[in-house]
Amino acid sequence: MQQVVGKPATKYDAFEKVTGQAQYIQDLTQPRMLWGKILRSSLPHARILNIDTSRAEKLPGVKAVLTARDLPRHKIGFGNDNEVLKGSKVRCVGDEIAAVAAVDEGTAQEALALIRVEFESLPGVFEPLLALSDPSVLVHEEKGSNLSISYQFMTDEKGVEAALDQAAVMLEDRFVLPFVTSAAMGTHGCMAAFRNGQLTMWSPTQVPFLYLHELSLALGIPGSRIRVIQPTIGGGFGAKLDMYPYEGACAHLAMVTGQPVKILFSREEEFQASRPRQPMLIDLVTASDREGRLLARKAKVICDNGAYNSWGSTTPFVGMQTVSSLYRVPNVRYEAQIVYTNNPYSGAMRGYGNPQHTFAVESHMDMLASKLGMDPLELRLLNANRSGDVTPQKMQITSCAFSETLRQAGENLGPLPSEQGKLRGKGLAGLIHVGGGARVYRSDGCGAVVKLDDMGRVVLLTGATDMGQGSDTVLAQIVAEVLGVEIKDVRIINNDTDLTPWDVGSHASRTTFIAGNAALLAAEKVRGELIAAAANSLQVAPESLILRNKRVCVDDNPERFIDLPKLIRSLHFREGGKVLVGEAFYDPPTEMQDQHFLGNVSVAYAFGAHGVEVEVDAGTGVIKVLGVTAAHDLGKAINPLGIQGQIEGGCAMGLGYALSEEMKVLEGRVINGNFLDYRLLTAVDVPEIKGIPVESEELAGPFGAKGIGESCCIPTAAAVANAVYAATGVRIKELPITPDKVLQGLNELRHVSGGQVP
Amino acid sequence: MVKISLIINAQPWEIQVEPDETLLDAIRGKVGLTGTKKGCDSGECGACTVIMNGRSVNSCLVLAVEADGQEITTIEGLSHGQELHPLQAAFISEGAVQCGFCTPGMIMSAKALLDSNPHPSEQQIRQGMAGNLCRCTGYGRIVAAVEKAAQLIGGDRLDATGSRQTGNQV
Amino acid sequence: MSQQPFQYEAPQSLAELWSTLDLGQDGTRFLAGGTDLLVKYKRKQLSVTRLVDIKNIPDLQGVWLDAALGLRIGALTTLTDLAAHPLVNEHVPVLAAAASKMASAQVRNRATVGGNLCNAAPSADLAPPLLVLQARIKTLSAAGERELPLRHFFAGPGLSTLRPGELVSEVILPLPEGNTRAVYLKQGLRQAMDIAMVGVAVKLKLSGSLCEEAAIALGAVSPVPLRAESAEQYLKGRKLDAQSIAEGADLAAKEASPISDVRASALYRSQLVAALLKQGLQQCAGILTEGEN
Ligand SMILES: Cc1cc2nc3c(=O)[nH]c(=O)nc-3n(C[C@H](O)[C@H](O)[C@H](O)COP(=O)(O)OP(=O)(O)OC[C@H]3O[C@@H](n4cnc5c(N)ncnc54)[C@H](O)[C@@H]3O)c2cc1C
Ligand code: FES
Ligand code: FES
Repeated sequence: MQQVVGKPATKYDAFEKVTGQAQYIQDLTQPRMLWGKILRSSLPHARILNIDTSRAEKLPGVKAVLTARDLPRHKIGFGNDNEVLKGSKVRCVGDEIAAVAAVDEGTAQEALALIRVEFESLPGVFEPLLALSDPSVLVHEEKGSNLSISYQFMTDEKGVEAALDQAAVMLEDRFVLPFVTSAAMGTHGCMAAFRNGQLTMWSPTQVPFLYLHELSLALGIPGSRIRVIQPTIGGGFGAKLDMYPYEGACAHLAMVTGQPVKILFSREEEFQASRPRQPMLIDLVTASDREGRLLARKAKVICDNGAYNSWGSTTPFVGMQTVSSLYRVPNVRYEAQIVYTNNPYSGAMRGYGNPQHTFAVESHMDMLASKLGMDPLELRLLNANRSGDVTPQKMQITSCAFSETLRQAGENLGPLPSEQGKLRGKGLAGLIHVGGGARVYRSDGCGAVVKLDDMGRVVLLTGATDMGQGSDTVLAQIVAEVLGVEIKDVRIINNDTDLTPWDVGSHASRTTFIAGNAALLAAEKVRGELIAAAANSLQVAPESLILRNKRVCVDDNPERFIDLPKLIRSLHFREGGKVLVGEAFYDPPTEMQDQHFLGNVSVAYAFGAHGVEVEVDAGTGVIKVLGVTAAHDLGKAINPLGIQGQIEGGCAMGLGYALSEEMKVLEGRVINGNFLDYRLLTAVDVPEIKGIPVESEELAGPFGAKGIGESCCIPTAAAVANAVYAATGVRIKELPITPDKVLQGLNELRHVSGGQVP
Repeated sequence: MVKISLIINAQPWEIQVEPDETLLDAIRGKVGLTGTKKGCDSGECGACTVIMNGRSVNSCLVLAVEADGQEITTIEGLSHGQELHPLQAAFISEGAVQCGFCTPGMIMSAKALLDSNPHPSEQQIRQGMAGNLCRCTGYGRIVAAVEKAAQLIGGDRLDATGSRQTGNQV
Repeated sequence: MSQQPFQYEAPQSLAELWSTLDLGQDGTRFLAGGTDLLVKYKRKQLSVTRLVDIKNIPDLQGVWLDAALGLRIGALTTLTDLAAHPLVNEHVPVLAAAASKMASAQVRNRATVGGNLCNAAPSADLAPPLLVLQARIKTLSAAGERELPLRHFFAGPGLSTLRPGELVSEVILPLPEGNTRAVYLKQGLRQAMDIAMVGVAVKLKLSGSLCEEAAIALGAVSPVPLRAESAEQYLKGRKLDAQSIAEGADLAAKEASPISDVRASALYRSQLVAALLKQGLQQCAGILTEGEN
């Protein structure tokens, strides 16, 4: 029987957070700290002819003004196409041109206004299709085209075409996905201090070690001289996966001034200059036989990359998996083009390309069902992935409770009775996502060190970042379980690269699985040593011993025991003594995809399904979500309380994507960069969300667990679209599903049927 | 600079502020109470919520000079040492905290709500907290926490300063 | 905030206010709840050199009944107090309901009636209900006082007919006659914390299902909040049924001249006017037929 794992545990750092003591980047300060500010481009595309910083430099209180001239000319970013400060050309609104450090924020702001930049404005390109077809405007001239990256996956050309020929039903539609953004409540910011040749960087990054590496490249100083400390993170959701140009600038300011420097984003900056989720155009073809068995899928995807390559340009890796592997589909062709424009550049955001692709694929599943006259649940169950499947991309499905989640979420689908003037309906959508790490780099590893001291206090040093999602709590539970202590006895150190062992980072829903396994292995090593020592001192066989209540005791005779602190001290106070430390490095047995995008990138895959019930006002088109049922195959719920929070939070984010969120970008400029016009849903808008954890016991997972963090937000928008269709007969293929679009759809139906539809 | 005096968490303060400095910046920068958060600086997210003379306000939309002579409660004023306000305890036990950036403002809004309506319905809680955005939780756990705190507090309540709350009077 | 900070004054009485000079100068602004003004100031959409905080002036506060004039609402009444005030709830519940639908609890605790009107946003939520309630505005300045109907108060988006140095001191509402019912319907994209895409207020005086008098006001669909007069004319003296309601709603929609902006398209706004108005008319009519009348 597990004592800690599987029981609700309160968030590890909740006390600090409810009392206001938690220190976010906004709250940190250092003696003699300066405030940094970034001069950002107000033009989407322009050549920089001259930058005159002389007046800014003379302003009393200004300690440094930097432009590209003052920095090493290292390219930064995934794809090496970006710079810390832009010297010759700006490619999007918000591009960093100069950096200022001054004694206070006001002075720094004033200094920005004194910098004179002479631009030669260039025509911009803001539509990816246009950017591809018309090379007259090049975002990066040296590349000769606006195509940044293209991806192509294919099972077998002839097979795909033959399947399409045979198909009884074939659907072909374009799905359109807008800009949305993470909008974490805590904005970006960092603080840098350069002392004695060593850089300490406080940054809310999700990926401290990769960040450190990128920073060292950007600054041209060895990584061995950089320490990264993460303050409490005010939400990440992917936007904190990149090393941002301003962070390099901040470090430089600290270097040249010899004083600590801090830069914070305003909310407006956060909208314009943090990485949004990429807008996509998805042309999807789905084909099935008469019984509804999927025969083929073909997708052609255009992603608006914006001005530079951020991690966002790699999201087709994940989207492709959805097209090839969500449901059993034997023939697949997938193409994606990542296109440079002068828009804000897209990054990672919870789901990493999957919410967009799932919207298309799951809308099509519903459309297919209605074309075949089938029940949407039956169609899905017929095609659902099962344990033992190997998908066209060679993903090996191990534990899989997909059908179960579909059934749980998919009760009572279709139109529902409602009062006069209202239309009700329920829709369903499923998902697949990596759930056992994701080998996007050569290593998908995480290190862990477990240390016990003579008071019985346990410390876990882990590379895994907690940005609010609760991985700290889960790791504490795992270690506490193995060592037979309470969660309170476990301290987690997870935010300082000087102390913590290496990790790839918090992304791809990998933390519970990968860092959990690492912590489990490290704790088990320590456990082994404790058992051996106790067996020795109690004179019993090691197999007869268990760890419980901070004791090592004989399993069938709990009266015979030795207290952990005493046992540990006995190891210290003796000749040839030792400290109790266990380390482990867990790198899952997976493979990187080959150049054909084949390979089992994850040990396990997470499945799930959302059922959404909506009520639409027939007169206004206004949609009210009445309820969400979210069933998730998560292997095992290590912390049911945390899971509930992840599911509810993910669904709310998914509902926002479905209904209200859209970052409106006009000629590269965000025109609704505030929370009245960029609408996160409020407590009134979010309905009751019923989270149903379905446990499929993943053998490779820590205590059977798989990752879930991203899954929770992936199918919601598709389920909403399907619900709106069930209620109204209007099929919306472009997010967000605004009342405007629904009403135009209703009016068209009324027109066609001569006013008969409600 | 203008000198103002105000009471923050039952303690008198005298501070120098710029006329256009917000109460939020003064509380964080001058008084050093950083529990109150800045999420938008324009009244739209609620992270900066404090209670001023018994009512919740966005401290980013109050000038420090307007708070001259007023009584303010911030998140730091709710707990006493290790002893938490029932709302704080309930936020922990119900899992209402994830990244925590919205949490201080949420709790202050909830306090103002319960002070004026000790037994709110779920809908009233949702309405009362609509000015506080949370990107992490989806609000379900937060609503549960407020409901639980309302039970914990029961009928008569004392506020953080130990004085009886009078609620909204007009 | 890194702009040249302004000078701040907080007179404690009208006498003190009028003793300060040059209230009419450019850059001198009255501060009420600050929920509009401070946001605009921070976004550098408004220059402020001198800020005169009028919150502490007792004469501008309170809600009271005046036998001759009706309900008098001090301009500095906060939205929270407006929504909760017994007199408001008794005589003009539509106003209390409109106030409680605005912004958030925190904003309502600061935002004032006067600020909502003086800000003169086409979407201001108090404007449509006050227009159908035939509100009059009382203003004060060093030169004396004026009174004008609210419909003459708005001059354009963000513009009012206030003169330099003049402030709004009260909103005066004639008490609605018996047999009248009023509703305010607001539609945003969110159910809370949203600026109206469209707001419509309807007030009907009914005798049975006969509409003796109709007042209709529209928000967020024209440069200023607007009375829909042709719809009012049409409905007056007519029996309220599905057809007349639909006709009236369409007429009102034609009077609107909405624009497309980040919140909604012009087309949708027109459709929304008609749809909300239909609901509003039905609600008003329905309430009465079900009621004791
Ligand atoms: C998050 C948020 C949500 C909001 N939601 C809504 C909403 O749902 N509906 C809505 O209608 N509005 C909304 N608003 C706008 C605003 O809150 C209201 O318009 C409010 O009523 C303004 O009142 P105030 O007292 O704060 O005005 P202030 O900001 O103090 O003043 C506004 C303007 O009017 C002038 N002024 C104020 N009072 C007087 C007076 N008595 N005489 C002469 N001039 C005066 C000021 O000089 C200033 O120019 C919202 C604002 C925010 C920040
Ligand atoms: S910081 Fe004040 S409401 Fe967002
Ligand atoms: S807990 Fe992160 S914003 Fe609410």
